[in-house]
Amino acid sequence: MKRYMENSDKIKGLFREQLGSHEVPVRPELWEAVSAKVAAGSVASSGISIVSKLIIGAVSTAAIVTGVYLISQEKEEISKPESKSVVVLQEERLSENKEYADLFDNDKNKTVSVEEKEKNKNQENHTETVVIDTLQPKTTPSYTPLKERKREEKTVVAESQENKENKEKETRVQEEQAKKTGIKQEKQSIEVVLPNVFSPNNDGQHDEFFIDFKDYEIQDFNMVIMDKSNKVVYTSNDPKFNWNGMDLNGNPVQPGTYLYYFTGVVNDKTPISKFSSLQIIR
Amino acid sequence: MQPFSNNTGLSDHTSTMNDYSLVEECVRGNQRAQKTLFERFAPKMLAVCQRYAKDIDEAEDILQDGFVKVFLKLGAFKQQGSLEGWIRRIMVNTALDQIRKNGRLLGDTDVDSVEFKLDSNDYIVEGLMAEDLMKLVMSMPDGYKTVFNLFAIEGYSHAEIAEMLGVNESTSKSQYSRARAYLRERIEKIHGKQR
Repeated sequence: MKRYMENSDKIKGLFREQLGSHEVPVRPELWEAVSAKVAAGSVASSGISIVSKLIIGAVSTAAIVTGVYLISQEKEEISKPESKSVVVLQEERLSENKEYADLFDNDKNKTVSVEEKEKNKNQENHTETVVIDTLQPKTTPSYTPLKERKREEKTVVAESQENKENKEKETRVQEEQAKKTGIKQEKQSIEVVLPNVFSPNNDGQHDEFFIDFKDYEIQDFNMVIMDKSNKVVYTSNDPKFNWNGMDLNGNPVQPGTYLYYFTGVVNDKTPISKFSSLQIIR
Repeated sequence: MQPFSNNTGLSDHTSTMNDYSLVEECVRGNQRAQKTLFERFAPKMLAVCQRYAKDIDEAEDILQDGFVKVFLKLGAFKQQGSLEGWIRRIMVNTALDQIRKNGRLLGDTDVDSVEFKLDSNDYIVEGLMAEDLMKLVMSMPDGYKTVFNLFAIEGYSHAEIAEMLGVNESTSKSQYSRARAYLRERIEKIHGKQR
């Protein structure tokens, strides 16, 4: 009887033939979410949202009043010795708010500890990695605010086990990125302000979220904003986008911490990708 | 419907790359290559995820988590086997993790053997469209849906399934029998209506 069942298993044959290579349409937003998660080095099954990781990790820059960042750079033509870098200026816009200032203090400590950890790691491995998205005195001494460097040297923060794990992941991703970008750096820089706070309450101040790319031509632009549970609330392919704080269904999003992420190609050559946290206050 | 459009007008040589070159580019961090890889496999993999998930939302979650794993582990992919098979295994494992997390694994089943018809009516299943079959699979109770997918469509053996799900081989076999009986009954109903 058993043999009969297996030999004549037409149900199996039918389903396998029909569904084995079956395809269904995929919403483009799914790629954007995957891309952002990969960039954040998030292991999705761990259940920790990227936004919380961002806050723990070095790249959570809500803490920093003014900092200049080197971001991903890759030179296509190897013949020329110089290559390009993109400098992104991070600007704190609402630092006078007491409540948020406290929050930022927390983040400052964490940020510093990550940077120290990375320093140690680099020494251990004897690798010449260029750490992306964190301050990098080696390649951009003139851009590093003194304040930042002092803090980096002086502050020692005890780290919880969980933080360590997250940082190791982050460091690993950054090292991979660093390998990819290589050591050949620097010539043309672009400076872009990445806002990390905005308040869509129609008071005439910071009511819309946008990124001012100035005169740079951005091709292939793709940006996505997600909430703490990795749900996409906004997406755009236009570098001149203006977001008014409404989600995909046209409802106002809740105040809180969000993540945004964008990729693109500057002036037809230099790929950029950058993510940042975004505080929404109403 | 055009799920993916490249409206930039930039040349995109990654779309014509073979799987292995594409993997190399992805590992190097080429974002366009990563997108190409996603676009190449996502439609098929979403169909895989749907068969295990309870609804389309959960299927999309599994797809996302699965592809994040794919990209983070891509460096470990051996450049000899089938890339699609490798990705599919990650998707299936991610789906099983999800099912486990929600406690739906073999949840509504017992190990009794099942009465199923073994007549010569198998011919009636021919002529059904993939979409219909997809709906049938998705309508199956969670308990034997997983086993059915793993055995009938993914092609794992009962021994492998037993190990993956942490159950006895006989449980896997009896769940599969249930699934078959369920599907047969549903298919007969569909054909009954059509006649």
